[in-house]
Parts: sequence; structure tokens; C-alpha cells
Amino acid sequence: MNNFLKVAIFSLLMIGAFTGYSNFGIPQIEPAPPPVEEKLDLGAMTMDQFIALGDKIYHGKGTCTLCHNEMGRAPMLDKIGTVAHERLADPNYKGEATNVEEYLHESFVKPSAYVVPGFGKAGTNDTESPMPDVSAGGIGMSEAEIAAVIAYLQDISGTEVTVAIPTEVPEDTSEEESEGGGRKPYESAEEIIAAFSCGSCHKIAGEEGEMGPDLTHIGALRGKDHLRRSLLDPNVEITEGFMEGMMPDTYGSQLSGKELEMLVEYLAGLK
Amino acid sequence: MQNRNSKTIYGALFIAVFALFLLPSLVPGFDASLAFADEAAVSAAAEAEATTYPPAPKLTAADYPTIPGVNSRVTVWLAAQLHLWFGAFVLAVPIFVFIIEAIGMATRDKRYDNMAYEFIKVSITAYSLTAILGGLLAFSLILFYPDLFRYLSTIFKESMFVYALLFFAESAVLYIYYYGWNWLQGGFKKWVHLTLGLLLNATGAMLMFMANSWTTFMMSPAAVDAAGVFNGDSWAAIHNFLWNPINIHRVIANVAYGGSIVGAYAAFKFLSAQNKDQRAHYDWMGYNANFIAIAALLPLPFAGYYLTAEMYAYSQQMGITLMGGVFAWIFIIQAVLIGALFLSANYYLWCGMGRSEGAHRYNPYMKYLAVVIVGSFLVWFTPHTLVLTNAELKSLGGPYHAILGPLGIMPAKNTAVNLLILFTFLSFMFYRRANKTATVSWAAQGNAVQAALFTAGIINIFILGVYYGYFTNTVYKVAASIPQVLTTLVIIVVSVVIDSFMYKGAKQVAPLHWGRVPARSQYALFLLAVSFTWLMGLMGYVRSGIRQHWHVTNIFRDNSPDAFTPGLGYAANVISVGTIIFMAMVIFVFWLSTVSGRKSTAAGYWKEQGA
Amino acid sequence: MKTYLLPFLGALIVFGIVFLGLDFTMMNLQGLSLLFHS
Repeated sequence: MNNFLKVAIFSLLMIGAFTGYSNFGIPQIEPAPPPVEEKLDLGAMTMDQFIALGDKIYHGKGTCTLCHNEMGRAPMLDKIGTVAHERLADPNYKGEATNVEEYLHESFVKPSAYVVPGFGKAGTNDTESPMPDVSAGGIGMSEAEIAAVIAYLQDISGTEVTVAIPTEVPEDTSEEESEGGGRKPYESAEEIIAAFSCGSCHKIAGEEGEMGPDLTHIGALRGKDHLRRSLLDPNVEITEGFMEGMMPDTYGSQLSGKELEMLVEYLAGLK
Repeated sequence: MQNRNSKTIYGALFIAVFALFLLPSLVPGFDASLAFADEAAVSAAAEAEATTYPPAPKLTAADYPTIPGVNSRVTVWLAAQLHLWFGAFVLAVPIFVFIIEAIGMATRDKRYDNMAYEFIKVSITAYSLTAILGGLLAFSLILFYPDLFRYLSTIFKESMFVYALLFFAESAVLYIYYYGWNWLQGGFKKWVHLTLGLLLNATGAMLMFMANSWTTFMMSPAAVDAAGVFNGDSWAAIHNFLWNPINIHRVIANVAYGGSIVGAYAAFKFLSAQNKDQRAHYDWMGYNANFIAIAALLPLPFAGYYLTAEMYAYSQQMGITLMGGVFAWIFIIQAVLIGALFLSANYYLWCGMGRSEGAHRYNPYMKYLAVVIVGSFLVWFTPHTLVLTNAELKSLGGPYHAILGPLGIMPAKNTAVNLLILFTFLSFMFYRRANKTATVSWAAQGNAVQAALFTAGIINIFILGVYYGYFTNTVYKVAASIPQVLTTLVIIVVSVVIDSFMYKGAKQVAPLHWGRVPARSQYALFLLAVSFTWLMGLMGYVRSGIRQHWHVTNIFRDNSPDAFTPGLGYAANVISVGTIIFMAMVIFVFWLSTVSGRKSTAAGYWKEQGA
Repeated sequence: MKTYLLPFLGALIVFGIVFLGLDFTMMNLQGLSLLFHS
């Protein structure tokens, strides 16, 4: 019995050590909740808001940044609006697009129509793209969402945004509204700020964080576009005197569209 | 008595053979050369084509039945994981029992035969627990995820039916193999027995491969279109992308795992041994079990690498989420666990040196081995990104430690793990050498060559790690890991060859004192078993979690209330609960194998017999 | 001492060349050179 107890305690201690390390020794990253079909109120959107929606999808549901980043797995898209012309003129281009907007749309749904040299699947000699069809299964972007991302990409390239905001939300037969999600929506900006501990790095809502810029009067210093951009893609513009790569860039997938806008409104109101 | 037993056994043998041959004819998709009834196969195939299959259903939360107080997802999770732990054990034991029995037959050393028999005895109860847990898993799926089960069973109906029937064969062979052990001894009968062992392994493997296909189908579906409509090709659905990688990985991992569980059994029996003979016996058993576990552990990273590479090939997204996205931290925990496995394996070897009279010659070197192995483990374990509070961030001046930060990246880790593997091998080499004195004339030169091999190799490993890791770019950095690991392999292979020549005809210093090990060495075996179990649970979480909110990737969406991918802390808690339940059940299994030998004399209980 | 030192040094050189060759071959097979240049 004595041996049994010793062995049992030893085993429990070890299991405790692994559990403890998993819970406290590593960052607790909560995976994004299953994507919920959002009701898009397209009729009331301005082009800026539509582009912002594209921004959010690009960094969230679209999972674009998983591959389109500096690691070299997929082409960078920051200049795609201008680069697209060269692609269309390339003798290897076999697709059917005639302008940038069509090219982008084709890249989303038929990525293998044109594979940028060097980025094809190994062994296919750049004829097959590893990119999935974003309108299907795993990512399941609707036409409206695709249009929003195209608008976003044209915008960040500094070229003209030619996409028109769809007037109707097309019937999306690929997914029903799912009830599963894992957490209740946040009711107020203050709730979000508390949940994500913004105050641990910023001066905001009574907290005195010093790692990031002081947000107490940020509404007077920055416009909504900047605020939204800072939440979705913080490293695009770093305020003077602060370090790059410090602020998490996952809020785009952790907050719903409504919650994001709520937070932006709140920050814009801090004058 | 003998007659009745043999009749039963022959009867069971007949059923087993009958079941084995019946099965192929039932499955149209199987390789035609196996099928007895070709006509049946052809007509079955034609029938399959005429059937139209439904698309994957679109479910809502209401489609998932619940029982108040029961968390459906955790129930299925635990049932599946427990089933897998036990399944791994009962599939592994026949593999090394077969090998040990064969060694016994070759050396005519009955100790091997006895040990093989003892191993299979331990796994008999585990076998029924595996089946019970499998039943629990099936019931849980039917109760809580009926639509998913219906969808999968529609596609896999033939193989699921065959799977159920195959258990007749598995049970028959296992019971004959076990109960007939003492009967089927000597000459021809021993060969029959060994063949039964082979059959047992074959049936077990087939069962696992079939179940693997259902699980890998959920991850990398095949033979279905985007809406989930099955095209009727059962074989295509079975041998989907990830099927073979999982098959290979699970076969190897099962052996490693089984070895570790048996090692824990031997360790416990050692600690509770009543006399020297028992201690010697269980010490020997523990050593062999540990050897099996570590030997199978070494090729495992390659199997895992192959599995991940195939995952990437199937879906870049899935692969990147696995290693670079939310699941990346899991692999840090995995690293820690593997480091613990290496530490305990080495510690066990060092403790075991005491069995030999000649080990003292290697004592001066042990501390250097310890330093390198512990040091490598610490580097292996050092994270790159630290979990810091706001104040700590400020005082550190950033998220990375100035000195330890560089140790957290892959080149340092690769160097560390190569050293870990190499020095573990060195520990083993010293252990093997400890009890031998070389008699060849060139022993001193041979040692010099060995030393040079290791020196040159270790320098190479360091250069590859440090130069390419810190003074070049990412592409070179990643590419350098290949020659680095090949260096380790070359050292191991060449060293084994040199040693085998050097110790030809070597004199044994003295017979090994089996049983002469400190009690704490047995705790190393417990650490091995518990770590392995927990690690398997962790990897099970990853394998299933990588599907995220899909029942069948990209085809059949999971819309249950528990569809969210759990965070690492939550998963760790579930895994730990599962590990504790499993350990409790395993203790029950071990205890049972000792109970069957016990007898109590109940004086005055039974009526007087006779006259 | 001599029975040990000479074979050691000799083997060291031989294995050094072997490993250098291994590095060279494996880096080349991956389309890279032994010494880094961007």
C-alpha cells in the first residue's frame, strides 16, 4: 500500500506539473470562435465602412494573413492594386479577367488561374496554387464579403476603389446562422476594454498602462480610420517613441464587426 | 478435460479463420485479389453506384441532443481518448510479445517465453476495457452527435460492419494465443503459437487501420464533393490523404507507448517484490520494456514529421494553423514532455549502470553526460516569447530576454535536441559497454576513433546550429537542420558498427546483478508512462482540434454549442482528468493480473466432501 | 598515449571531411551554398 501511495502521489504531482505549465506557463491564446454569419447592413454603409469591413474580413474570417505575410508563403498584397496590371500582361496569365477588380475576384475563387512564379505547390512548376477557393467550405466568403476585401486591397494599394457596394445581401446558401460561438457578445466598449486588458499597456478607462500611447484624449488626436486600423493591424503605423510588434494583432478575429465599431466610436469620443 | 479444452479451442480457431476469409467478400471496394466471391463484389459495386447519397446536413444547435449535467463534447473526447490509450496498449503488446517469443525460440531461453506470457497476461483485461470504451464512444456519438454518426456510417457502412465482425477474429485469436500458451509448446506447436501471434498482430492492425480511416476522413475527406455527397467509392474514402501517415505514426507510437506502460507495471512489481528473485525478474522486465519504449521513440519524430508534411500538402491552411497559428504553443508543451521523456530514460540508464561490476570505469564521464543532457533540456525548454506582466515588460525592455531570448529560437532548439538524442545514445552505449571488456588488439585505437567521431560530429552540429542559425537568413537556417540531424544519425550508425566489431568475443566482466538498482530508478519508469500518456492526450487534442468548427473539414459544419475550439489551459485540464482516469483503470488491470493467482483457504466454509 | 593520440587526430580529420561533405551535399541538394551569401 505504501508503494502504491508513493507512486500515486508521484504520478499526480507530474500530471499537476504538466497541467500547471499548460495553464500558467504559456500564453493562453483563445482560438477564434466559429465564424458566425453576420447580417450585413450594406444599404447603410459608406465606402469607408465597406473598406473597413474588407479590412476586418482580411484579418479575420478570410484568414488571409495566415499566408499573405512576410514569411514568404504567399505574395504580399500591399501593392496588389498596381501589381495586378503586370500580372494581367504576363504571357503566362491564363485567366479571363480584363481589369484589376476582375483579376482580384478570379484570384479569390480560382487561384490556380494564375500562379505568381515561385509560389506554386511544390512539384507543380507553378501551375497549381496552394490557395483555396475562398468562397467554398472552409472560409466560405460570400460575394459581398469578397467585394469588401477587393475594395480593401485596392484601397491599401493606393489605387482607385472600383468595387460597388452590393445593394442586396445575396442569399447565402452555404451556411446557416450558427448559434454556437462560445461567448456572449460584448455589450459596451468598456466591457471590451476590461476583457482585453487594454489598460495594461494604455492609459485608458482609469488604468495607467505605459507600454502604448496614452488614449485618454485619443479622439482629439486621431480619426476613426486610424483607430480602426490600429485595432486590426497595429504594426502598420507605430506612434513615435513606441515599439513595433508589441500590440496583439488578433483583435480583428476576436471581435465581431459590431463590437469593433462600438470600440472605435468610444475611442473617437475620447476628446 | 484436455479433450474439451482442445475442442473449444479448435472451434474458436475455425470461427477465426472463417471470419477472416468471409470479410473480403463483403466489401466491394477491397482489392479484388482478396475477394472470394468476385461476382458478389461486382454486383455490390454496381449497387453502390446506383444509390444516391445525401449531402452533408446543415445542422443547428437543436439537432444535438443533450443530457442535463453531461457535457457532450467532453464525454466524447474522454471516451475517445481513453479508448485510444487502451487500444494503443493492446495493439502494442502483441507486437513485442511476438518479437520476444521469437527471440525466446531462437535462443531457447525460457526466460523470454515467460516474460512474453506475462506481458500478454497483463493485456487481456485491458483488451475488454478497450472494447467497453469503444462501445462507450460509439454510444456517445450516437446519442450526442446522431447526424454526424449517420453521415459517417452511410459512407463507411461496409467497413464499419466488417470492423464489428473482425472482433470475432481478434478475440478468437487472442484467447487461443493466451489460453493455449502452455499447451502449444515445443517443436511444431510452438510455430503454430507464433503464427497465432502474427495473426493477432495482423487482425489488430487491420482493426486500427479501419478506425483510422474514419477519423482521417473527418480531417481530410475524400470521395465526397463540396456538398458532402459521397460518390460511392468506399476504398477512396478509406485511403484518404492522412490515412497512411496516421497508420504509420500510430503503429510506431503504439510500440513506444506499450513499452512504457509495461515498464510501469514492471516498476511497480519491482517495488513491491518480496525477495531477490522477484526483484531480479522485474528489474529485467523493466529494462526490456524501457528498451522497447526508447527504441520506438527514436523514429517517432520522423513519422510525426511525415504526418505534418502530408497535412500541409492536403491543406496549407490546416498545416499553418497547426504549427504557426493557435496550436503552435501546444508544440512547446510537447517539447517539454519529450524533454522529460529523454531525461527519465537517461536517468534510468545511469541508475542501471550499478547492475554491472565494470560500470565504475565510466563513472567519471557520467557527470559530463548529465551536464550536457540537462543543459540541452533547459535550452530545449526555453521559450522565445515570454508571458510577462506590464511591469515586467518595462523592466525587461521588451518581450524577449536579452540573453535567453536567442536560445528560444529553432536553431538553438535543434542543436539542443540533436545533442539530447546523441548523448542519450551515448548513455546507452556506456551502459552496454559497462559489463564488457574488449579483447581485440586494437581496442585503444577503436576508442580513439569513437572519440574522434563524436568530437567531429558534435562540432559539426554546433557549427550548423550557430552559424546558420544566427549569421544567415531563414532559408539557410531551416535548411541546415537537415544535415544537423543526419550528423546525429551518422554518428549513431557508425558508432554502433565500430562497437560491434570492437566487442566481438568480448569478455563479460561479471554476470549482471539484475535487481541491484535503487528504488528511485523505478520512478523514472513511472515518469515515462505518465508523460507518454499525457503527451498522447495532448496530441489527440491537436489532431481533433485542427478541424476547429468542422465535423468533416470544409464539408460538414459543426454547429453544436460546443463547437468552439478550446484553449490550451482548458484542454490541458481535460487531458489531465483523462490521464488520471486512465491510470486508475490501468492500476485496476495490473491488480487483476495479480488477483487471478491468489487463493484463500476458507476453513469451515464448504461442506465436508467425500465418503 | 601515442596509441591513442595519433588515431584520434587521424580519425578526427577523416570524420571532419566526412561531415563537411555531408553539409555541402545536403545544402546543395536544397539549392543552397555551404557559405551564406544573400
